[in-house]
Amino acid sequence: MRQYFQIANSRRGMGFVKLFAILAFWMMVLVFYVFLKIFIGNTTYKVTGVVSGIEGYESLLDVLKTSVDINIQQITIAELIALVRHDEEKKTFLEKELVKLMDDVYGTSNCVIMCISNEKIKGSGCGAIGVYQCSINYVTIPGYDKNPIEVSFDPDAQPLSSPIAP
Amino acid sequence: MKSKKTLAFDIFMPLVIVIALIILISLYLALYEKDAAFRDNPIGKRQFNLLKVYLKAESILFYIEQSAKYALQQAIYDLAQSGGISEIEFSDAEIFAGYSCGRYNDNYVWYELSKDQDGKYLDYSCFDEKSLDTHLIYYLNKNLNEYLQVHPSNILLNNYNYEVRGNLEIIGKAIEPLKLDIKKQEIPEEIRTTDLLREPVKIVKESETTIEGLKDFTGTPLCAKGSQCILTDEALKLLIKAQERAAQKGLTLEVYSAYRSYYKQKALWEGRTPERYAYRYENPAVRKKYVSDPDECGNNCPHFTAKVVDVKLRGKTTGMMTSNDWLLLHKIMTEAGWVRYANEPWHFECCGTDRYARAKQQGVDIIA
Repeated sequence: MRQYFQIANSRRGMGFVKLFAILAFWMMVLVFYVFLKIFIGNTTYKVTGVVSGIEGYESLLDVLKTSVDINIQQITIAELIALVRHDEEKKTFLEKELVKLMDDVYGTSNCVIMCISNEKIKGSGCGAIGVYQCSINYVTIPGYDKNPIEVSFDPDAQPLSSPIAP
Repeated sequence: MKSKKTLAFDIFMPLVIVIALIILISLYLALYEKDAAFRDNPIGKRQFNLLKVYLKAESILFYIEQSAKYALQQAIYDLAQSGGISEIEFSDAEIFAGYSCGRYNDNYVWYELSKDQDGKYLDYSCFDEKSLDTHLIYYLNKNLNEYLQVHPSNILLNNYNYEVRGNLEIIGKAIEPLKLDIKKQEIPEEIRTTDLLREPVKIVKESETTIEGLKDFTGTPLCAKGSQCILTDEALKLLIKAQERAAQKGLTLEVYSAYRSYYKQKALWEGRTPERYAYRYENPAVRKKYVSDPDECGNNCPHFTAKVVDVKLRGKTTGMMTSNDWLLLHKIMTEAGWVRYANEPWHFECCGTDRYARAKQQGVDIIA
């Protein structure tokens, strides 16, 4: 050790050590890089892809809280859904209101689907044919009979399979 | 031939490089290992989970809000049906202190007519309109519980202090806040759906109460839906021991009350829960047999210690439990090391509470 510092302290030695150190440093970096490439490979990070589910969930809460006029009374969509369970005559009114709401907010370029206990209500943007699935991000709302109702919403629904040409 | 100096230099420098390489690689590997959990998850997963939990909480609050609306409508109907008085179950030994005129043909008597000595009619109004609020709130809470019970999440029941303002407004203030586990969202599905009964400790998390070292097993099969279940580590282990004994008989225990906060105990004492102790036992001295006054017992209130459980057999309400069921429960619990409170077949204590210590001193497993 003492001998090494004696070389390093001499003028000739200083230049030599510097050059050697720089070379050694880059060599080390290169070796380290090659080592990582061979043994560990690339470290890739996936970016989460659950944004659409959250957007649908958030929109659904807004939809459910939206007020509609029925028989001079104002009730929320959630209440209307609960009401339809006991009064089938209100079903047409509910569907009309929902389609209008979905078209107003999302336009007709996207296919918007709302599912009430697996019963699908499609916006005007959805094709007449094609199989659509309900979103798995559902919200539970109470029914008048104390049985919960599951409602889900997909603002950008894609058909599961393309219709087969005849 | 190389000089000694050059030789030393030739050996030393490569050695430095090799050592540096080893250190760097070890560091990288250590970081790689530590980072494994994060690397396997997509970037932003935790943030999205946070957002998801927030939205879930919003949806639960919306559910509670809507349920409260419907529950109130139903409560008004129920109250009208029952003649303005909420009916609670009484044992034969109890005296109905809340209504003096009794019933006629299953309906509560509102007015009593009698004649005085001169043959003059005297009317006496039995119905106290001021008590309407109490009765309405009783039905409201009962109906709300029924709504909350069926929600897929574990929403606490009997968790609201009600305040009636004027004739139209009822305010419900939550005693315990709504708690959702953000981390739980990240637990893979297979862990959550494992048979938790075998090892309920697996999903027990540290409690957020002021007492240190408590275990929260809310949401596990040992805790009734809608109840908050918190015990000390020692008490929980004893409960699991009791459950193991119950399982041998094909039964499951279900705790519906364990640790209680001061506010929860106060609500019980003041009769703001469906049990309505204050209404059933107007005399505080009698009421104390069934529920502790938190202002009097202080830290010695049994349920404050987190070493006490109110427990029943799963699949049965306390009303459905037969005397044989209670006996069986008593056997299971006491064999596991619990001590029963004599006045309540569902109330068991352990691990050094006052009652437990007295029972052990006397060598009994049931004590008043």
